[in-house]
Amino acid sequence: MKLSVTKVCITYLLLLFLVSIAMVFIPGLDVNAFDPNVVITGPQSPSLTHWLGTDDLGRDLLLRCLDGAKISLLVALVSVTISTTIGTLLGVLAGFFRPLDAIVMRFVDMMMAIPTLFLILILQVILTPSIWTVVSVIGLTSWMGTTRLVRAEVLSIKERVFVKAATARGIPTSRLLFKHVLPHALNPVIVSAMLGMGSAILIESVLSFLGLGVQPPYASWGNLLENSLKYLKEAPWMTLAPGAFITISVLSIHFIGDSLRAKLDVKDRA
Amino acid sequence: MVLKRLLGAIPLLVGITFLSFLIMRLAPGDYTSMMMDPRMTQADMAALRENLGLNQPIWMQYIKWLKAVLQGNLGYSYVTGKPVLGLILERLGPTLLMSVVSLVLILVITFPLGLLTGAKRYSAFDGWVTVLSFIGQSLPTFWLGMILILAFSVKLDWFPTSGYLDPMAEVMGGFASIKNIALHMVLPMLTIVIGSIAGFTRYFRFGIIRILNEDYIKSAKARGLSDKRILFKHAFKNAALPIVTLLGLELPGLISGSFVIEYIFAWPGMGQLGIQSAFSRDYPVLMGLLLMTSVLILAGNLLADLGYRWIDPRIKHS
Repeated sequence: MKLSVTKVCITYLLLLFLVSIAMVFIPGLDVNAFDPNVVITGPQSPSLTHWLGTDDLGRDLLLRCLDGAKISLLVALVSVTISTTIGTLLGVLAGFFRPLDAIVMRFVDMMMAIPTLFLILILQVILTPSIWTVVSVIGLTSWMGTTRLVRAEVLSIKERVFVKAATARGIPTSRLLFKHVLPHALNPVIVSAMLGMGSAILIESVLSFLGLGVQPPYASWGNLLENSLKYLKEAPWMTLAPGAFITISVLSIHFIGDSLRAKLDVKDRA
Repeated sequence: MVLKRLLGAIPLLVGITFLSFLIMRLAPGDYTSMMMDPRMTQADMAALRENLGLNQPIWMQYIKWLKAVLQGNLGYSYVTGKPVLGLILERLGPTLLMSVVSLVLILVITFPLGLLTGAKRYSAFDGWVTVLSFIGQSLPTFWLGMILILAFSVKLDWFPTSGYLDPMAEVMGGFASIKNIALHMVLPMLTIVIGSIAGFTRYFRFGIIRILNEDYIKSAKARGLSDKRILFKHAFKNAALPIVTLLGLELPGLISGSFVIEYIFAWPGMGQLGIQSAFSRDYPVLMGLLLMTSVLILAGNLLADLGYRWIDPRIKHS
């Protein structure tokens, strides 16, 4: 039962991503095709021609949501890659080298005391928002959890016999770290990276919703919601569709993360 | 021990203030751009910069700025020209009201839920709560807020869509005002609560599972006490201990985490101020808010830590 839910989730995310990419290569398909009549009459409700309705410019919402999927998923993927890399490196350094431990962990404490979402918002205001700033700002502000996880793992791995044996054989420290210590610390990192994708999608959606994230002409689920607040009364489908895509995708990621946790036998540190 | 913890917070405070300062300097334009006058020459500008100490090394500027901050001067808003500290304090009331009431509600819901699911681990009930909390964690909170407005304001017309206190009710004063504020509070509060149920329930669930593995529970079982008695007399009381810690740890997070919700519901708190300042590029207000919320989080962590030592002597002796 559990396994099949996971498979459904993986299939859904992969299909969504592939369709979203493939749409770029379909000749004659214009996701931004607008309808001048709609601009006058207002957003169209869901119908057989437009399954999820249209926005205020008459653009098909289903196509826009599918088109936005690749940006939302890529933003999550790249920012998590950044935060996981930083988090893992700092965690290994802190766990393995005693003098660095205090400095790195103090820095982690400091970053943890700053409200992340608000810091991201301010950085986005100062920088000119674009896909790249969104990706780097999310990546640079969400590595602290990974550092803590990796440090704790490394601290315990360091005391295991095979590490002591390797040290006694006199192999170089870098080789010891990357060949012997790190591979044993990776399971919790994989799980937290998976869950991190979920929160990255959510953060991107908040930023873009406020107009401080992914900018048009690129569509993301967040910026599809940006002007839907204005049409909440007349055109609720403009709000419902992108939000549903976000929720279902993040939920899938959580399910996959949870089964990875079980499979890799990672303790839950809630 | 208390002193050690307090001293430990100082480098963090210095770090946070220095980071805030650096970010503010990163922002385009400095305070001379606000005082600029078209009649001023380049030389006047240079003199002004010199007078304000903008040519000094960055660490000296930081110390000067820090001195002012410690005296309560967080600078002046670019938009209204008012002192930042005053602007923030004006918004503190509504934000505290919303977060404290939400937090109480969250605890009332999640504590029993966590205990029940933890005590009956892997039951059907536990499974359903887990799935529901996954869904709760996956909802973008601002979107949830919009859905609630759609359902309960637009369609059912039970609650106002946004705001804090209608002018009419304000004039009437007394009970009418309180009722009006309460009505405005329901939907944003519900949004915050639904968004937080998952995390808190999991927390209490793990707490009770850990406690049920303790030796004193096993010995109670060995003495032949009933499951009910063990749960109510031995386990639940100890599971309630971390609530004190949670108050310190979660309240500041709730305050800074709900700013988008305040914005959507036009709730006149610190969060709404933050978003408005973001839109108008009002950097001094933004930095003031960042600094205030960070200090609040730090203070909360410290209080939680000290509170926990106070109520749970085991920590002190271990």
